[in-house]
Amino acid sequence: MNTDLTSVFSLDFYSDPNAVNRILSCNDETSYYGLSLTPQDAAALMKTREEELRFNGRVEVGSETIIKLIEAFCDSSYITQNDYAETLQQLIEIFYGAKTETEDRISDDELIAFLRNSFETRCGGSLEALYERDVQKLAENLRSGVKDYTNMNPDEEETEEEYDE
Amino acid sequence: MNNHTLETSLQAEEIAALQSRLLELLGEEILYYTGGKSSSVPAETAQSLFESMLYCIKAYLGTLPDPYATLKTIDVQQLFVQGLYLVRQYEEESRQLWEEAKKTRVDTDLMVYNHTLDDYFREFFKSYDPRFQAHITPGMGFLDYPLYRDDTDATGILYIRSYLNELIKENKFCAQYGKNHIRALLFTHGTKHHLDYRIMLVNIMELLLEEEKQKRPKP
Repeated sequence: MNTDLTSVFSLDFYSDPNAVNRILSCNDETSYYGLSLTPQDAAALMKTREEELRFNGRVEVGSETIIKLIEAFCDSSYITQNDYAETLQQLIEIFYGAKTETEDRISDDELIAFLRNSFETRCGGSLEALYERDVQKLAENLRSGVKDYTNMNPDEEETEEEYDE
Repeated sequence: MNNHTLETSLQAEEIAALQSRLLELLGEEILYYTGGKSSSVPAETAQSLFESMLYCIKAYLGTLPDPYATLKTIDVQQLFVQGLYLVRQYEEESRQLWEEAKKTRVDTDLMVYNHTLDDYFREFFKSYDPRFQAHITPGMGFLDYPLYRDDTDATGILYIRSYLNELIKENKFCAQYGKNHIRALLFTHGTKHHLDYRIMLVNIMELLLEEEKQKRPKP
């Protein structure tokens, strides 16, 4: 068979025809927290996803990341219906940026858990602090081979241990 | 078979449906590649995974009497599974061909021949990845011994299998000539080109054939 299949089958790596419906189905859960997305919001999230994937030179098939971010952040005390869609857009940017910064050394689930915990505690709901401080520290820890890479305050813990002694 | 034939055999909707399935399959491969830890990878990695999938599918389709009909009737995941199994079989077959090539080797101190037969293939079989990089021939730039007839259209394990088959044929041809005869021929060739024959990039069978040709009486 002499056919070069790659020239016949060219894939659109970023398309996901079922994505908008899947995103909207999350409203069933998030409405409990007073949060919901419109079809336009969902389409905008997919557009942001594609832009950020391209910007970070990544490919993802399907919209699983958006679903996971919605599920992780829907019960945040810092997110209201007014800023829900925009916050999710920024979280998408932060997620893919973090995957690049951390050089794929952390799994999606662990990264999302880290982002959620940081956003809710240390960052006090500030997305800027989340990316500019905690994500950068996480990336530095991972690149340096620090074992407890999600610990943002290792020095404080050492001080406490010394005090206890 | 050429691109024109494939594209005229499949309707636009059939190509679109196949592309949709291939995309789903790629998503699964990405998850498998990352051990379930990430649904996204660098674009180059995704492209390579996709090409590896197509390589396996094409390897399998190439064994069928009517690949176009198969593309229409058999799910592409099944084609990939069959193709991957075939590529792994080819890898195992190539290991056996390598052993055969070493058993039939020409007794020579031509370095490129010995380096290729010993070092190159040892490293190749350590690095070849039939699942995620089936289409890549690792260390291709170091596969230096030139064959008399080389299938340069093939890639990956198909190329290696073809190369080893040809090398074994050449070895058996060269076995008709003694070690000293071959050494003298190489030495003469080296002297003619002001080279140490041991570092030349030449094909032994080609030199032997050329020598035979020159011995034949001219009409």
